[in-house]
Amino acid sequence: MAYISDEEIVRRLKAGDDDAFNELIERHKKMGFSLAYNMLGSIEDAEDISQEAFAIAYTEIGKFRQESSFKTWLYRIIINLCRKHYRKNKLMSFIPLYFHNKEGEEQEMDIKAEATPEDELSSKQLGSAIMKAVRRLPMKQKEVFVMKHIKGMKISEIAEILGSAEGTVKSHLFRAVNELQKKLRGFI
Amino acid sequence: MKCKDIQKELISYYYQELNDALKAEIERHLGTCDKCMFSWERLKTTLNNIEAKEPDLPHAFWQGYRRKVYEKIEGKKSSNLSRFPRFAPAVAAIVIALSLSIFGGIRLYESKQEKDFIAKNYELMKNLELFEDLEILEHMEEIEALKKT
Repeated sequence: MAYISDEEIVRRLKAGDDDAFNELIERHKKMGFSLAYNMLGSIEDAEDISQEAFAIAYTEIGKFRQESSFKTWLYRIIINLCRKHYRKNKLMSFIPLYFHNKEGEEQEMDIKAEATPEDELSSKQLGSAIMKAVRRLPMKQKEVFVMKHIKGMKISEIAEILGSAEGTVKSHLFRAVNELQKKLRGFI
Repeated sequence: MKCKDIQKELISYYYQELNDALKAEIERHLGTCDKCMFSWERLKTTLNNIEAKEPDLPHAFWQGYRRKVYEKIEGKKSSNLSRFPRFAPAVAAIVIALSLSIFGGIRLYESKQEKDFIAKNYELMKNLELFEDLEILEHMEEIEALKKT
């Protein structure tokens, strides 16, 4: 069977062909999930957000003018959903978590406490420590770093997804790498 | 190019996203500048050590993936449909309450105005009634006179 481009599949979907949508899911589900997973670090959240992005793509396909590729559009939706999720969680992080100690007294749990390099090294999970450092980056730096380094996208492609100039993407990337070098001092 | 500009381009150099001319310039600079060479080595080490850790997901996860997307689509459709009926009773109650208070208020105002008017013009109205009665009597006299003729 001849290869059909995403552009053609989107045209078919717009014409009411639901099988075309199945094909789009099959083509992009792994990349979409992976992007969300590397942004959020949770399988459940990544599954939920990537599926939500497909559902939005389906219901809003009429508004997609095909000025960019379907992949770029889908990734933009995922990034926006991740930002929304991040804002919601950031808000939640202001609510102190409480736990009970052995004596039954209520104590506040410091959820912002960061592990020291020694703690991380003792856990012998270097890969996990690195991904933690990536996930602790400021949102914009994390977005460009994940898309560039983890997903291997071109700077021009990232700029298109984020609706930013290539110079801005490079600048976020530069700052992200500097930040990671600081955070990972002692690990690598 | 100055060291500051070179260092900004090192990331693009790492990802091989530079044109040949810029790439050659950076390589020339790195050969002569220890400071930039140190930055480059550090950057390379950091980035080489960071690799994606993708979770190992079972086949069943991907099998059920599409179904869950359709469940979300159905959820969106039904929430769009139910959005109006869900709020409709509340909206209707507000509209009715507002209408009642507006019309009730107007009616109350009118009734008060009427009472004030009557109180103020009681004497005048009483006299008016007397005149009306006299007028009726006059007409009665005319009618009786006609009957007699």
